Amino acid sequence: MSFKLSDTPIDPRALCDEVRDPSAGGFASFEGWVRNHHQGLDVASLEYEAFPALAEKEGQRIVEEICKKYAIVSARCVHRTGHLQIGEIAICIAVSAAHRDAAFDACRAIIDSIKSTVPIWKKEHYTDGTSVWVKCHACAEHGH
Amino acid sequence: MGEDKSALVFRDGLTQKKRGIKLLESVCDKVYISTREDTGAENTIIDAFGEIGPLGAIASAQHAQPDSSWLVLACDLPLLDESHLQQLVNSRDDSHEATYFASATDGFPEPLCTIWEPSSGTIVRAAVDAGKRCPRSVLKNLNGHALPSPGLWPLANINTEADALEIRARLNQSTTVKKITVTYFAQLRELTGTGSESIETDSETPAGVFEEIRAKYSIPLKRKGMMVAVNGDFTDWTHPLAEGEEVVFIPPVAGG
Repeated sequence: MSFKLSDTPIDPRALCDEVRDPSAGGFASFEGWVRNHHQGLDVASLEYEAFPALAEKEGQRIVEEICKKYAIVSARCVHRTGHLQIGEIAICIAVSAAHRDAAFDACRAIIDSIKSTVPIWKKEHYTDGTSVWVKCHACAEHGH
Repeated sequence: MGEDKSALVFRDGLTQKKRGIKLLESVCDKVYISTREDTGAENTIIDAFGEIGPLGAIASAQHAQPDSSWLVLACDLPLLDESHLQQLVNSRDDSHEATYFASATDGFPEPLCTIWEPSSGTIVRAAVDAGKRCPRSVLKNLNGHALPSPGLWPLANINTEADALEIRARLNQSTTVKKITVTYFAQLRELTGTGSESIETDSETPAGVFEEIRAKYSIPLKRKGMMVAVNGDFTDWTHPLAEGEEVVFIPPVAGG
């Protein structure tokens, strides 16, 4: 069970191999890709920045907690940092379990949980040259 | 806070409501209390436009007495003194629609320690009728007379337990100066222009430090919705800060 940050491209095949196990009959994975649009805006690229020590600690806690809950054989999660281009993998989760239900459920639970508490931020760069830290505008909306 | 802030006692053995009345009596001809419903008490201004918050209360007062100038004071400012109200009244300029202090944080008006002149009445009422709820936004658009900020703390209000801790420490003069490190990531790194800094602070909690940082760099973020870490672990905003600790403020995260 592990959560790691990576400043180089993620190899999903390698993660799949890492969770392979004779006792596992089901494998599920999730990849988050950099998309070229967000809320009607044309996105050119994404920049991810983490608070590394706490992101890895919190990510690890989440992966371990969810693996325990769903009887998972093995799980890996890698999150990118740095400047990513359209189509690149921002996050990859690989989960193996004895049966498919646990693998699907755990995979989903890991991505949802990571999005809510792991200290990683993303900046969207748009095709018109502007950029914004995602969610920053939402919380700045009532910033007084 | 989940409780009636006007009933809290911070100083002089008085509830915030009683203390507010006493402060206002020193500078005003008459003092009224804004209430949501008719409590039967004397000298109240009952909300005339529904329960829409402070802007509705201001409009209600102006509706009740259109020719009066209203010094509107929030009930949750324990560090505010008579001297601040004296300054507001002495600097008042009734050729403007309002006289107020600028916020220490962003320079915008502090609407709940403000003199609202009768000439502001039409605009306030129009804002209420248009469904606006934020007195600060209305005040920003008035022809107002801004006084320099009296500093971060006199106009600090109590919204959280951490606010109450900071305010009580200042009232008790029990604050201690400590040196801490603050590290910034993402938008905070950009807004502050630095990755990390060592600061001397007399704040007791990360909440107080964040208010100082907001004021120093005009940061347009509020604590609500944010998390905080001390020495590499998530902690509460009420964490008692000690010498040498490392603080990281965590705006809403956006991984995945």
